[in-house]
This record gives sequence, C-alpha cells and structure tokens, in this order.
Amino acid sequence: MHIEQLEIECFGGLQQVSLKDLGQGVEVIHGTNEIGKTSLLEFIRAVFFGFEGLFRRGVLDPKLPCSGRLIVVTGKGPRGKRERHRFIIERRHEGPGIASLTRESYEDDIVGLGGDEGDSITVEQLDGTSTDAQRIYLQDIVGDIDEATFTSVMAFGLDELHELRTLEPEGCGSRLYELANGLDRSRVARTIRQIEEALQRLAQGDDEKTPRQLLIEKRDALRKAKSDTQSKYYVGDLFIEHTKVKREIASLEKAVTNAAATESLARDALPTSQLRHAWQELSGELELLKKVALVHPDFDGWQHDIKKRKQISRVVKKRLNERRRLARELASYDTKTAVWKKRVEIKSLLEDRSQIERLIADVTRTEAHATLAARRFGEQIGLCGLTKVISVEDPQTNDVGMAVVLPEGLSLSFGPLRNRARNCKRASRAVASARKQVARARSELAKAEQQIDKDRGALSGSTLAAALEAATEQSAAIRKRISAGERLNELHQTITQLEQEMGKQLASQVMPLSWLLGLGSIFVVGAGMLLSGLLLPSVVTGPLAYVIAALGLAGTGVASVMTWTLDKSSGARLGETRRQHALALKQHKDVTAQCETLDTKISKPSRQFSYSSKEVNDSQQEFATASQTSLERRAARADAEIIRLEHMATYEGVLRSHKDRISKSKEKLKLAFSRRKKSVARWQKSLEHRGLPNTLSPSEVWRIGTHRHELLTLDDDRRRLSDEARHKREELAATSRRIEAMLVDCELLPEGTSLDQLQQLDDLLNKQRLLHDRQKTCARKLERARIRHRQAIRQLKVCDRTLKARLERWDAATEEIFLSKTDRRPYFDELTEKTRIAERTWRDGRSRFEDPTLLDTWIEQASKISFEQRLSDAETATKELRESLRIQKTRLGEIEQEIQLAGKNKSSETIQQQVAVVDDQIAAHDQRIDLLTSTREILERTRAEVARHHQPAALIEASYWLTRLTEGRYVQITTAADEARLDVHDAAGAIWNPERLSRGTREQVFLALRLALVRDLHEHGITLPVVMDDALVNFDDQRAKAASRTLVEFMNDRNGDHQMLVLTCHAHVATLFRAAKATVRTLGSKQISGDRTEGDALPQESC
Amino acid sequence: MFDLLFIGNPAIDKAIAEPEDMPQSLVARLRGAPLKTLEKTYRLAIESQAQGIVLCGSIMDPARVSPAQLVALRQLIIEAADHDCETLWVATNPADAQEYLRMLGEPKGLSFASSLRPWTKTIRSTTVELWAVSTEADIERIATQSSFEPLHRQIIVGSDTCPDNDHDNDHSVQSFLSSSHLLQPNTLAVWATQSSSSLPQHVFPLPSIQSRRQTDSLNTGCYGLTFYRPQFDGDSDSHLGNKCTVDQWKKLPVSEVIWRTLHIESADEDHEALSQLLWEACQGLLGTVVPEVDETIAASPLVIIDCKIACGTSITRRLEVNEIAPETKRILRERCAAASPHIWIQTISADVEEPLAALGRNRSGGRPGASNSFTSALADLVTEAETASPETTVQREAGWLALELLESE
Repeated sequence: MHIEQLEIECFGGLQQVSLKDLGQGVEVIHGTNEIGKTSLLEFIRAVFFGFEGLFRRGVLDPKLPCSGRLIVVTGKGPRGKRERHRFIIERRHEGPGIASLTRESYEDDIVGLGGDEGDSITVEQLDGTSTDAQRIYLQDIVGDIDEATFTSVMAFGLDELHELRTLEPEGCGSRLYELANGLDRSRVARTIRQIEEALQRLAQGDDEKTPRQLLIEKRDALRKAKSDTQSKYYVGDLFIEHTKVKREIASLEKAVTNAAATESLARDALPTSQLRHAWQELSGELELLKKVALVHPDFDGWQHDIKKRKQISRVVKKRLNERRRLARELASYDTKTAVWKKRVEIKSLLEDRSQIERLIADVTRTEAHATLAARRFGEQIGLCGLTKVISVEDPQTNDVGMAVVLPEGLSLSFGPLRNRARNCKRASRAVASARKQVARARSELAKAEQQIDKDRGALSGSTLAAALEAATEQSAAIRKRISAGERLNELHQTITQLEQEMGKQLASQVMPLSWLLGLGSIFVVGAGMLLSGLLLPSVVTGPLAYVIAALGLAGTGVASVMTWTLDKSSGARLGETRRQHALALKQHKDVTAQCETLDTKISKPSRQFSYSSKEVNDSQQEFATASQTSLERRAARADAEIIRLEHMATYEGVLRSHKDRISKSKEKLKLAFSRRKKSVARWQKSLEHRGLPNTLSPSEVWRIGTHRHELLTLDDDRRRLSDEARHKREELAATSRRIEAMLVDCELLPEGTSLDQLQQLDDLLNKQRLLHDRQKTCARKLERARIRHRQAIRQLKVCDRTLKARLERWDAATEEIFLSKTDRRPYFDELTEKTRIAERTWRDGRSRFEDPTLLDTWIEQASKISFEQRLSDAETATKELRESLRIQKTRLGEIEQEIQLAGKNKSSETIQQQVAVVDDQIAAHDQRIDLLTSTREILERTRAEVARHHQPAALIEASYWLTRLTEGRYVQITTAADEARLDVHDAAGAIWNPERLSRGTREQVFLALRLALVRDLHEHGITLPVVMDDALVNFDDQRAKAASRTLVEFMNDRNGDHQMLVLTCHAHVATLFRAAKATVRTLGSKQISGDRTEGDALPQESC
Repeated sequence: MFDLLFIGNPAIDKAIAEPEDMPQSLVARLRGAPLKTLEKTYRLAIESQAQGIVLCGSIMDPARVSPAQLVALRQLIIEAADHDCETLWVATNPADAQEYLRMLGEPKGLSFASSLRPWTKTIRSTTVELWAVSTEADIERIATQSSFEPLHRQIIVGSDTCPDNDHDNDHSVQSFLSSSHLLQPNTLAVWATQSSSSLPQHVFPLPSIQSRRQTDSLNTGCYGLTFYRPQFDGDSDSHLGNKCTVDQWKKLPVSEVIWRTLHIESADEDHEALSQLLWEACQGLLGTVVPEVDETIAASPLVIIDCKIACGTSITRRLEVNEIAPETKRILRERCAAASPHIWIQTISADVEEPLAALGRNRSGGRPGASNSFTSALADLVTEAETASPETTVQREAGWLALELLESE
C-alpha cells in the first residue's frame, strides 16, 4: 500500500495542506525546520489510528477541530482480493461538543470510551466498485497492527528509534521474541522470575524466619510439649507397681489365711474345753446318785390314790353322759309350737265348720245367676253389633260377666249424633258434587286444548299471534299489490299518452318549408348584401354598398331571430313533455319495483304458519298467473285465514276460562273437603264424647241406638247379680282368710279349701297334745340323773384332796415333780446317758483338732492364758492382716484404674498427628523447593540452549541489514541468554552491548531491527507505508550514504506495493537519497507553514 | 506357620498425616493405623504359631509415644506370651533395653537382643541366635564369638533408621554389611530399611510394616521366617537358597493403610468421562490390593489412591486435566464412597512420570525456530538428565512443571 495523496484541512498548525501524486518506493520529503514534517508524520498516524493518542499526549488540543484525508492505493481489495484499489480515508474531529473535551477525556486509553465526541472516520473506495454490501473497514486496509507497533516500527522519528534500544519483555521486545516463530522467550523469563519469586517466598517467607524453620520450630515445640507433660516411665512404673502390689497381696492373703486358721482354732477350742468341763460335772453327779435309794414309800400310796380317783372319774363321766342325754332328749321336745299357742283360736274355728259349708253353697248359687245374666247381656251386645267396639274394662277381675263394660256415653241421648251424621252426609255430597264439577271442567279444558293443539299443529310451531300477524301482513301485501297493479296500469297509460304527445311535439318542432325558404332567402340575401358591401371595392359599389350591407345585415338578423324564437318555444314544450315522460317512467319503474317486491313477498310461502299442501300449491299457481283475479282470490283467502286465526284466538280465550273454572271448582272441592273434614271431626268428637270409637259409621251408631235401652236393662241385671255373688264370695273369702291367717300363724302353708285347712289344723292340734305328755315324762328322768351325777362329783373331790396333800408334803407343784422326787430311777438313767453323750462330744471335739495335744496343752495352760484371751489375740491379728490386704487391694484397684486411664490416654496422639502433619508440610515444602529449583534450572538450561541454537529469524534479517548499513563492520545481532539485552557481533567476532556502541552505530542497529520487523509485518500482511522523520540525523556522511542506499535497496528488495516516506530537513540527506535513485520532494516554508491561511496546496513536486 | 515374624520400623507413635478433606469415617481408620497394623501382625503371629516376633528399627519414640500406645503394645506382648510367642526387641544400643523395659512395665514375654548379648532360643530343635548390629565392630565381635554348629542359625539384625531424622531418605549402603561373616552358612542378615536397592544381595531388606505417605508405600509389610520348611512346586516365596535351601523368608502384607498410584491415559475426556475412566481403573486396582493372606487377618485395608493422567505430551491437556481435577475428584469420591468404603481418592493430576522423550524427538526434524523448539530442547535436556540418573523423577516432574507454567503464562 502506498499513500497517493495527502490532504489536511486543519491539523494543529497546518491548514489546507495537500501532497499529491506520491508514489511507491522511497519518497524523500525535504523541508526546512518547522515546516511541518513532524506534523505530517503525526497526521499520517492520526488518520490511520485516530486523534486520541495525540490528544492524550498533548500534541493536539481536543477543543480544536482537526480533519484531513489520505488517498491510498492498495494491492488488495476490501476482501483481500489481489486487485489494485484506491481508497480515501477521511478522519474528522469537529462538532459543537468538542468544546467541552479536555486532555483528561482521553486518559482512559481506551478508544471510544472517553472523548470520542465529534470524531468520525469515513472510508470509501474511489473507483466506485464497492457497494453497500461491501462495506469497507479501516482494518481491512491497515491490517492487524496496533498504533504502538505502527509508531515504534513503521512511523517513527528519532525519539521512537531509540525505543528499541533495550529489549523489554513487553511491547516490541516481546514482539521480537515472538518472531522467532516459537516460544516467546520473554515468557520464559517471566516464568523463571515467577519461579524465583516463589522460591524466594518459600525460602525466606514474610518474617525473619523461613517457612521451613517455622515448621521445624513448630514440630520441635510439639515434641517438647509432649515430653513435658508426663514422665516417659509413667506407664511402665504403673505396671511394675501393679505387679509389686499383686505380689504383696498374694503374701498378705496367705498370712490372712493362716491368721484366720489360728483364730478359727481358738474359736473352736473354747467350746471344746467347755464340753470337757460339762462331762466332768455330769460324771460327778452320777457318782453321787449311785450312793442313795432310788424309790420312796409315798410313791406306792400315790399309785393307789391315783387308781381310786380314776375309777370315780369314770363314774362321774358316765353319769354326766346320762344327764346330758336326758337333757338333750328333753330339749328335743318342741312343745312351744304356734299350734299349741293358738289352740283356743283353732278350737273356735273348728266349731264354725258347719257355717262355712253353708256359705260355700250360697256362693255357688249366686255366681250361677250372675253368669247367666252376663251371658244374656253378651248376646244382646252381639246382637246390636257392639262386639268390636266394647272394651274389656278389667280383664283381671274374677267377675267374668263384668269384663264387658258399656261406654258411659251410651246412656246419653243419641239425637245430636244423628244431626252430626246428617251433616257429614251433606258434606260428603258436597265433595262429590265438587269433584264432578272439577272433572267436567277438566274434560272441557282437555277438549279445548285438543282443538287448540290441532289448530296449532297447522301453525308449524309458530305462535298464534305471529301467525295472525303474518296473515295480516300477507293480506295487506296482496292489497298493496292490487293497488300497485292498478297504479302501474295508470302510469302505463300516462306514459303512452306522453309519448304520443312528444311525437307530436317533435313533429311540430320542425318549421314549415315555406317558413324555412322565406327565412333562408332573407338570410341569404342579407348575407350576400353584407358580403358585397364589405368586400367589393367602394369604387364599384359606392355608397349603396353600405346600404345593401345594412339591409343584408338586418335581413339576416331578422331571419336568425325568427328561427331562434320558433325553435325555442317548441323546444320548451318538448322539454316539458319529456320531463313529464321521464317522471312517469321513473314512477313506473318505482311502482314496478314495488310490484316485484310485493310479488316476491307474496310469492314466499309464509313461514310463520303453514298452509296445507294443496293450499300452497294453489297459491303458488295463482301467484304464477299473477292476474288480478287471482290476487283478489288470494286476498279473500288471506282474509279467511285471518278469520280462522281469530277463531283460534277465541278458543284460547275459552281455554283460559276453562282453566279458571277448573281452579274455581278445585277451590270449591277444597272447601267441600274442609267442610267434610270438620263434619267428620265433629262426628268423631261426638262419638268420643259417648265413649264410642270414632271409627263407627252412622249406620252402626243407628243400630246401637236401637238396642240401647235393652242393653242398659240387661246391664243393670248383670251388675246386680254380679254384686250379690261378689258379696257372698267376699264373706266366704273373709272366713277363708281367718283360717289362712291361722295357718300362717301356725307356720303352715295354706293349701286346699277352707274345709281342708280346718281339718289340717285339727290334726295338728291333736299331735301337739301327745307330744306334750312325752315331755313331762322326760323331765322327771333328768332330775333323777342330775342328783346321781352330783354325788359322784363329791367323791372325786375327796380323792383330789388326798393327792394334793401328798404333793404338798413333797413340796411338788406337779405330779411329775412328785414322781421324780419319790422315784429317781429315770433321773439316774438320764444322767447316765448325758454323761455318756458329754464324754463322746468332748472326744469328738478334741479329735477335730489337727493337733489335739495343742488343745490339751491349751487346756492345761487355761489357768494362765484363758481361751477367751487366746481368741481375742487371734482376732486382732487377723483383723490387722485383713486391713493391710484391703489397703493393698485398694492400691491395686487404683493402679488398675490408672492403667485403664493410661490405656485411654491418647492426648499425645493428637500431637503425634500434628507432628505428622508438620512433617508432611516440611516434606512437601522441601519437595516443592526441590521441584521449583529443578524447574528453574531446567528452564535456564533450556533457554541457554535455545538462545545458542535458535535465534529469531527477525534477528537474522536484522543482522543482514545491519551488515548492509554498517558496510560489513557489524555482522550479527543476537539476543542474550538472559533476554535482557541485544548482543551485536562485529566482523571480528566481538560481542557488543548496544549501550556501549556509538550513537550512530546504535541507531544503525535499531534501524536494522526496524527493517527486519517491517519485513516481518509485511509477511504477516501488513503493508502500511514506512514514515521516517529525520531518523538519519545522527549519521555521518558515510553512514547516511550507506543508510540511504540500504533503504532504497530495502524498498526495492520488497515485491509489491510499498512506500517509504523519508522526512528530512537536511539537504545532504535528500541529495544522498536522490543519488540512491529515490524520489525527492522539496517543500518550501511558504507552502506549509507560511501560507496556512491561504489554503494553497503544496507544490506537486520539485526535484 | 512361621517360626519367627520380623517387623521393621513399626513406629507406633508416628502418625499418618490426615488429609483435610477426608471424611471422618476414613480418618478414624487412618488414626492409629501403625498400631492397628502391629496388632494385625501380632494376630498373624499367634495364628501362625510363631515362636517369636522380632521388632527392629524404629519401634517407638519414648518422647512421643502415648500412654495408650504403650499399654496397647504391652498388651500385645503379654497376649503373644500367653500363646508362647515371645517378643524380641532388637536394641542396637544395649543401654536402651532397660529404658524400654521399664517403659513397658517389664511385661512377660519381652526379650531384648543387643550387639553385646544375643537372644537365644531353640525352635524345633534349632538353636537360634539373634544379634543386633549397628557398626562394623559389632559384626567383628559376633564373628569372634560365634562358631559353626549343626542345627544352628545365627540371625543378624540391624536398621538404618535414625530416630532423630527419620524422614530423611538416607539409605546409604552400610559398608560393613558386605562383611564376609555375613556370608557364612546358617547366618541370616536382616536390615530394616526403606531402600532395597542399596543393600548387598545377601542382606534381606525389612521394610516398614506401615508406610506413612505415598512416597514410601511401595514396599511395606512384615516377613515370616520358617526354618526347614518343605518346599512345594507352586511355592513362589523367596528362599534362602545360598545358605539354607529350606528356610523360608516370606513377605506378608499386613498394612492397614496402603497407597497406590493409578495411571491412565486421557486425550480429551471431560470431567465426567474422566471420572468414569478412573472409576473403571479403580475397580481393577481393588482386585490387586486385597491381601492374599488369610482372610481372617486381612480386613480390607484403606487404599489411598493418587490418580495420574497421562496426556500424551499435550501441555494444554495437562492444564485442562489439572483444571477439571477438582470436579473429577468430587465425582470419583462420591462413586468410591458409594461402592467401596475402603478407597480414598487423594489426588488427581496430570502424570508427571510421563516421559518427555516424545516431545524431544521432533526437534531434529524441525527447522531452527520451529514452534516446538523450546519444548524440544527442554524435553531433550530432561531425557538426558534421566538417562544420567534414572532413579530420580524430579527432572521429569520439573520438566512438566516448566512446560505447564510456560503454557499457562
């Protein structure tokens, strides 16, 4: 791409400046200082990348407008096609809003966010091949390059040239590394730096101590904390003490066992010694007893007295038994019975036996009479039909005949009942009559409804009113149709007359031929005279000519006026006639339309009501004929239909009257029902008043009334006889109750008749008399036995006194004591046995001792040391040993508890865990350091290796151009292994740091690097023009010459459309470039800086 | 059946660091795992009717051991003694014996072997003499005191564990282990160590019965020694062929916690597919880690797994794997927790043991300045370093880290 034309409208100090016809290759623009070369450089940058950077850097004031355009020629189209295209790129900064902009508005360094107020860019294709669909963007022309790169590499002044003096990791330095087509070694540097920082953090930490030292201190602190808590022998000493205490316990248990055995021996020896003492005492007593007699003489006397007493005792016992037996027998005689007590009353009852028998016979007789009367009464009740209405008053009564009770109201008069019966009958008749009326009204209503339904069926569902209305309308339409037909005929006649009249008027409108000839002749003559007077020369005609012309004119005028007048009068008449004719035609048309409408209306069979099929056919046929007659017939039929419908309407009125009748009849029926109900209620009330059931009918009541007096008579008889029988029965019952009361008093159950009961009392009384005699005999025997028993008792008491005297004599409380004192043989035997047992017990006790001699010894020494003393000493020893054992066991338990606690004591395991964590952290820390160290080493080694063998292609390119620029004195540019600088190799192989090179050489190096970068950008499709502003100012003549030659060579070496604009203020530089066959333009100060207000363009070219 | 059971470096007071995100159920298994492993070994000894249990190396630290651990160890010793199984404490320092004896409360069935006084016992008519050695002088002294006798076994036991710095992997070869005395018939040298490669062939390495971390977890367990054991055709156990062709030296996996590393390849799977791949690999791994010894001994150990994803030299993929690793780990942990309570997925990361040689091969074919020149150079350097010292993988890990850092820059 190259810039073909440059136009500045306003840009800083430049106003209306243009450079035209710039070409490819090196274009040297030579001008004096302050002519605006640097402004041109800034303008080109601004057109490509905007004014923001200039505003931000303060090169331009954002409040002032600036604008301009570039016309560029590219070798590729907007879509990358390899075609030649011309584009105009116009950028403007203007508008009312820019007055508020400041430099700070562009501080954000982001295009579009800050002061983009008023900025606009226009990119258009000048050859006109682009369309709206192919919109051109600036990036399509500029390529993928940013402003910084363009400024540093392609559009630079002397200041920017030195920006590449050091290879910073960022920016172009990074770009340079990336050009190695491989890894960005600045990234390697950053990575190594990050690793070193990480290592530094790991090695040093934030505090004075390193993280590893902190971890080790933490671990040591944890270990120390563990060691400080408890002695390490604590658990072992516990177990050792445990074993020791267990051994102590074992020895103590043995000692306690021995002491307990001694104590037990002493405890056993004490009773054994007592056994020996008891044996010795018994032996002494036995020896004493052997020396005296064992039986006393009182013992025999005692035996005799005892025998005698036993005999007397047997007699006493026998007589006592006899006495008891007689007493029991006497007691068994029950003479205090109720019969015996009531014997006087019973005797009086027995004396009334004959009277009771007579009373029984009377009762039987009177009951027979009462039964007969009751039967008659029952028969009479059955006869008058009162069986089902008479209730049994007291079914429990014994009086069978009185079970049936006549109602109390039967004795009242039956006259009111008859009135009530008549009222009921009347009410029933009224109900029947009302029912008949209702039925009749209903039947009439049904008939009317049937008729209406029949008529309504012809209406095919429509209402009667609608049908009537439809029929009326039909009739009116037919009437209208008839009148319209008549009107139509009239109009037809009128039209015919008007047409005839019009024909006549048309015929009269043509004037008569004579009139026409005359008037025409006059007109012709007049016209000829006029023409002759006007056209002929006055010489020929003379003054007559004027007369002739005037006459001609007058004649012509008269003819014309006449003709017009005649024509106008006839035309007016004809017009009037035509108007009337048209009016008549219009009316005829309206009437015809009305007829058609009416015909249509008439011809439609009414949907509101349906005729019979025959009628419909007729009407249609009649309508088809459409004659006047038929219309009149149809009108008559429609009237008949209206009449019929009106009849139907009348039926409907009748129907309503029927319904009214029905409702009235129903009301009457309801009234009749209520009256009958009241009558029945009064009838029932009357029946209830007389005690009769309310279900009785009047006929039944009539029959009852007929037999009422006879029933009352029979009822009186029945009652009288029944009362008599009841009195007899009550009398008999009173007697029977006396007998039964006696039986009850005698504790007997009343059974049978009164006579039987009297007989039972008589038998009982006789039996009591016999029993009483036997009791008296038994009492006498009992008295005799009591006397004999008392005699025997007295003898027994004498014997007892004798025995008691003997006991008192021997001072014995009991018989056993007396016998033991008078007979000592059993005691001797017992003592002998006791002595033997005591001896054996002592022997056994002694034999139980393991060492009997020890017992013998203790017994021998009992006088010195008692057995009690020995036992007390043994108990004390055992107690002391057991206390010691208990203490040891307690201690053992405590130790075991401590061991158990120790077994659960895992407190230091937490510290172990923490130590393990810290150990892991230390190991991870060390491993991390090792890994990072190894990573850093390997990166450094790799970087050195790559730096040695893999220099970037751009540096190779730069080395070539450096050789050309320095004419072989410096041959190579390389990057240092540490990436912080460039190394420049001279022809002798020496490596130079660019900082140590001379300024001119250093700028040659940087220029070579830029050329290499431009070449690289070109390979990446970026072909922007290169603009240099006095970049060769520090070169001496030789370097400048070499540089100009090299730059021209560089541009020629590149294929395609390229451009380099070299801005310089030095004439020798321009001369050198001119010598190198570059295009040189010389700018006058007048054209750029002096004539700002004139707006003149720069000279096209001045070589 | 074993005559003697050798336990190396039980270190009952040295805990295993608990991962922060491990659930409490697994942490409970992790806590006290060294002591549980020792208990399991004692049960194995009792069940196999061993005559003695030899404890050597780092057994416990008097300053760190908890009372509960002391009580438990004492209980194990007494319980074994009740079953006629004596516990032999190999004390490289004779003065330590009294200290340990007192710490444990002088339990019955506990004996000490030192370099001055051997432990002697007749096992199935064989007189066994066990010495503790720590220096060359000890071996020389033993050599002067011992004499070859029929039916005699001399066992020399030592360890390279330094109590003060037991995390250092200083497994330097003890030069005195090459002594000719150890080559004598009926002499068995056992060395408690973490590194088997640094020992002479005639010295039998005795690893720790319970590893503490991933790095030392490959070789763990105890060893059973049987004198005059009849050989079977299918017996694959190691035998002391050069000394006693019928003595058996068998490794027994008893560790309560074991670490395993799972290597799989993954090209472009997302976290769900990757977790599925890892789960399948975990299932395959589970079958191999279940101990083959008697089932009564082996309650399933807790398996802590590190998953290494080989990414086929793609640095981008490695970064992606490290990025999706947390989510993948979460999914995989959920599946493992649901399927097997014995598995804990500790880490998922790109495989640092993957060789970088493949990256370096392309360099020779590429022109200078090719896109992979730096990577190729780095890979070649790492490969060269590995060739020079094949026992370390630090260079490889560093190489991957460097490439990942550069890629993520």
